[in-house]
Amino acid sequence: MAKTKLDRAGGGALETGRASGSASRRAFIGVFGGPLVFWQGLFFVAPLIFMFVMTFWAVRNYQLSADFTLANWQAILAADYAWDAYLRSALGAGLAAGIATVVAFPCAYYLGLKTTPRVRILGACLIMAPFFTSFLVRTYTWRTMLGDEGVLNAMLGWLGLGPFQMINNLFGSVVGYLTLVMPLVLLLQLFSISGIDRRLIEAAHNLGCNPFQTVFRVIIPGARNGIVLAATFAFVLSFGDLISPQVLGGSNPPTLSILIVDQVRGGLQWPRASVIAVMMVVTLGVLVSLAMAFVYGGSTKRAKRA
Amino acid sequence: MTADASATDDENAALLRFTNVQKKFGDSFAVRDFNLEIGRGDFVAIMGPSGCGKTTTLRMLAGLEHPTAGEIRRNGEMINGLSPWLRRMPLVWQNYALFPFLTVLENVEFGLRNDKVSKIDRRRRASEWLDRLGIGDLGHRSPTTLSGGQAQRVALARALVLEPEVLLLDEPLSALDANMVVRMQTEIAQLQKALGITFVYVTHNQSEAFAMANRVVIMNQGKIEQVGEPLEVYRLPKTRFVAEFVGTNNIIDGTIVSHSPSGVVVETKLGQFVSTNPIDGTLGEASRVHIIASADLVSVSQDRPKDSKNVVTARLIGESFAGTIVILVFEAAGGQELKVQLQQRALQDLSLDPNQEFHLVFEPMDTLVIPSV
Repeated sequence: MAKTKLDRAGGGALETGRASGSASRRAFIGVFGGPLVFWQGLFFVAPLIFMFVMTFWAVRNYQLSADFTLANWQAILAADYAWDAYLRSALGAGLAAGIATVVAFPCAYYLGLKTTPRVRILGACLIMAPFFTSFLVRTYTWRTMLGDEGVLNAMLGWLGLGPFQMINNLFGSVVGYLTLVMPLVLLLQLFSISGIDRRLIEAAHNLGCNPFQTVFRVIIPGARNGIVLAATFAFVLSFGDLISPQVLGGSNPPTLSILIVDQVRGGLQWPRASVIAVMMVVTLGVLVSLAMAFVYGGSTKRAKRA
Repeated sequence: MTADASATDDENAALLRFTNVQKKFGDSFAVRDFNLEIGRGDFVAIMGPSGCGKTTTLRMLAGLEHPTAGEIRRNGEMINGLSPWLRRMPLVWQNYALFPFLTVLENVEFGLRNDKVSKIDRRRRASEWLDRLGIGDLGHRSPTTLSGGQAQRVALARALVLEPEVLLLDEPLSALDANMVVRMQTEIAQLQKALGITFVYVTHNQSEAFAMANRVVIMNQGKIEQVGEPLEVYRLPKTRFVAEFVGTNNIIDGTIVSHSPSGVVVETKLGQFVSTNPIDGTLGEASRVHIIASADLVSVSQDRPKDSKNVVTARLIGESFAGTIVILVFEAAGGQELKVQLQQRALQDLSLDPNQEFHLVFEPMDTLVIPSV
């Protein structure tokens, strides 16, 4: 009897707890999530819509005026220089994403699986250390390293090589992009690799895979999602970066980000700049969607099989 | 040529031989003084409480740990430092360790990919094993969607498809529910007989070990306590640890008073006991010993028997039912606890009055005398 009563009382208390819990949870989400939603709405979604609307506006006598014209779209889409810049941006970002993925992997593999937790934490701190210095400063430093009379060419000169042109070209831009994205790629790869179940690695060894084969047959498939997301972020950041192509790439021929600046500076062509920006946003939107589908689609496909 | 000659020398050698194997982690011994021979076609169960070194022993066989000292030989050849991927001694893991990013069929094919086998052949062999283990229809599923019993079969198929000389199993049934355990036990035992390959099976569960193995190794604190056939280990425990770990045994401390071909007489605080079983040759008069009697070989009587030897008077203090058998717990003089295991039916002839005294009879032929350490 007493037990039943107790149970009932307990149940009642639990239910009230749950009800007030959901109300307070909603309040919690509202208080802490609200500002972010407000911020994103005000400073991201609204400007994005405004930017898209502006692509149909016109510029008359250096004055921006509301209009509905397809002239801006026609001008940009018909311009070879715009498509050249588009391909150049995509090529640079693609190279940066690819090189960062390949170069970061051995380091992430080593830190994630082959060291003690203490070394791993130290390694992660060192990876983050570049963020302590402004990206602009780091890019200018590269100029002194890679310039025609820079440190690297001086050293190569002693060996009777060079000088090589390493800035004011695609090489320089890609070095800049890599400086920007490498820490992020390395961290994302490190997290996904250190999350791999060690028993799977031992199981692979047990089934005849040497450590090298294990990397390709267990580590990479196991860390696939992290590797793909890291590469996607690397592409997104490099594709939109302005500093690297300007400081290290020499601005000419331009990338899309430089083109946007040129359109605005040269003739206050805000609408045309907006067209280019919309092209970039759509490109990255498609790319990120594909990456997400690849990463999360795999798991839904698997669930469906069941 | 010389290699061939030495191979002939070792033809009669055990498939696997441990000689004084030792494994240290830091300053503590995980395994020590480990000597064991495992023959071709043996089903060896290594059993012991957690932390006794049984899993470390298995991992040393797989090459996932390397001995600190001693030798492990396979077919006479030392394999102490041989890398795991060169051993072809597949392991069935406690939690299966299936690759979640591969399908069931791809998991089973995994080990064959390093062999020079065509893709079609590989696929056929993997499918055959899935069929043989009754999960042929699961080939395209992800391992993450399988039940415990199904995952266990996939793990077995993945190992057996390699047609190994030795299969290692690390508590493979510990994550399954009771019904499935009994089914898999039968299947694994049949599989081992049919294949005729050596199984080395690690478990903390004695019913698993006794149901399947033809040799049982009992380990404690990194050392082997006893090796033997299941029934031998069960009926003739050699150490106090084995007597406590295996089966349900009564253990009474005592001292040998006399020693003759007709039997050993031991004086205990519960009276004198006679055992007609052979004893350790090192034991003589005045040696400290333990009397061991299996709970299922002790009989209970309400009437006092004529002979006073091998009889203990005790009070019933508890009972526990386990299906068809019942374990009665008695307390004798000096708080000594004694257990008697009876069939449920035998219990019906006995009135279990807690105030009454019972007489427990230990037959001399069912009483063992082992040295006290």
